[in-house]
Amino acid sequence: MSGPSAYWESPEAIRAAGKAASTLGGHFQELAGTVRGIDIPPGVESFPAGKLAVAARRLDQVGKAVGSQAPFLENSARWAAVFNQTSPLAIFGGGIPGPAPGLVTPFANTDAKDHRGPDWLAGVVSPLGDLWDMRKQWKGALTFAVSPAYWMYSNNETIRYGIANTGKLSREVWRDAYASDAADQGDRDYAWGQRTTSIALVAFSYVKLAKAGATAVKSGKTLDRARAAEAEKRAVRDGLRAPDPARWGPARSHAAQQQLEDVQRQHAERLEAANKALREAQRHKIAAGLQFGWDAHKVPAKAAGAGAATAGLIDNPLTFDNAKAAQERQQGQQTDDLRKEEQQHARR
Amino acid sequence: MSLLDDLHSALRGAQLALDTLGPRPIGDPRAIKAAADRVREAGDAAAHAATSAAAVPDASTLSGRSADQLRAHSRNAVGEARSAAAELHDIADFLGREVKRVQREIDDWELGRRKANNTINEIKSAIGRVL
Repeated sequence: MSGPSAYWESPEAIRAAGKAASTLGGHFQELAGTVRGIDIPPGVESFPAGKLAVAARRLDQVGKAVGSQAPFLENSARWAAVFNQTSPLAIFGGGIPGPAPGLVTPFANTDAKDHRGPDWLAGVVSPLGDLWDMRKQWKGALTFAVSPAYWMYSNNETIRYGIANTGKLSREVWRDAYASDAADQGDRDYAWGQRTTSIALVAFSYVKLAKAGATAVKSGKTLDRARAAEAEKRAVRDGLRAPDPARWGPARSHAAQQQLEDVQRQHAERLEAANKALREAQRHKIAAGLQFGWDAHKVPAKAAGAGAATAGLIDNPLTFDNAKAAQERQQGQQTDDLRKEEQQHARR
Repeated sequence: MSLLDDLHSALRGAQLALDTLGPRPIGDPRAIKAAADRVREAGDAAAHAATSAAAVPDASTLSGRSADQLRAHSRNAVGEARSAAAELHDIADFLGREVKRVQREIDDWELGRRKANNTINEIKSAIGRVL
């Protein structure tokens, strides 16, 4: 049975190991310098000077390699501190949350046995198998939430500096933060893990954005189609456009055609009524004009409006407008017709 | 050939032997030994540091993929350090052997020089006695 000790490393112990690694790294590099500084006195025959240089270079590399463990361990200490403080799952005895997929931490233990917890806990929890499985999901979710936030927290100075310099949280600011982070930490795994997490987050954001954009475009297209259909329906209803059979279908097209014919018929009836009223009004005015010596061509336009109002055309402003426009276009012709009719009537 | 001629001939031979010894061999055994000691100290220090470096990741109970990588990384570094230490010890041993060789050459040269000088002095003394 694996105990939780793997996850309960003290941050102080990890930090101490990091300091030891740092000290040892420096020591190796000092040794490399010492070896480089050794002068071989004259008289030594066939001395392998290359071998001494190789040893010095090797010590130098060892110093760098050992020293590079220091930031890794320091980072591990921070992780341990964060997880030990933030894990609400400690009560399960299983330790800190596991890592998100692709996230490399000292705790990236994917071995299933490390998730089981102590025996007594398995005995207690076994009736609640679902809850136990849920616990694993909680681990991933919590780590996934904490990791980038913690990364931002640990690099906030670089990010703030970048924002102060550029005035915005640009891509360059993030890139500098990464570069600084990787340089500070000196650990490729750490940078890779954080980068992977952030790339996943950015990708997630882009996917969300793309989905939102697609939804918006779809809504916009739907709205446009609805508006176009409504406009066409209105145009058909008002008699401005014949229904399109291809677009409306036979049944709807027939109904729309019928509706159009009704509208046109009503329109014609109203025009006829308007003309009749107009003729009546003109007749009276012309008669009056003849009394006072007016020219029939100079019948006041107001009389036409009065005639139309008399016919009740103002009940429908649109129809009224149409009638008015038609009346204005035909006014001259109508007046002439009336005059001819009067003349014929007089001759008879 | 008279005795005096023989003595002169022997004197020339002894001087030729002295010339043949040549100049003192190059090399300061003490300086070479000091260099060997410095190299050996560096090797000892590297070996000691390698042992300490090996203990760093083992002192931790961290587990996981990165911890494994850390340990592998550390093992490589420690292996390199031990190789470097071994090379330094080899160099120190080589220098130690050189100290002995140079010292032996110097001793041989000084012995030969003393012998030649003694012979020359003896022959010169004999010539003086004959004359």
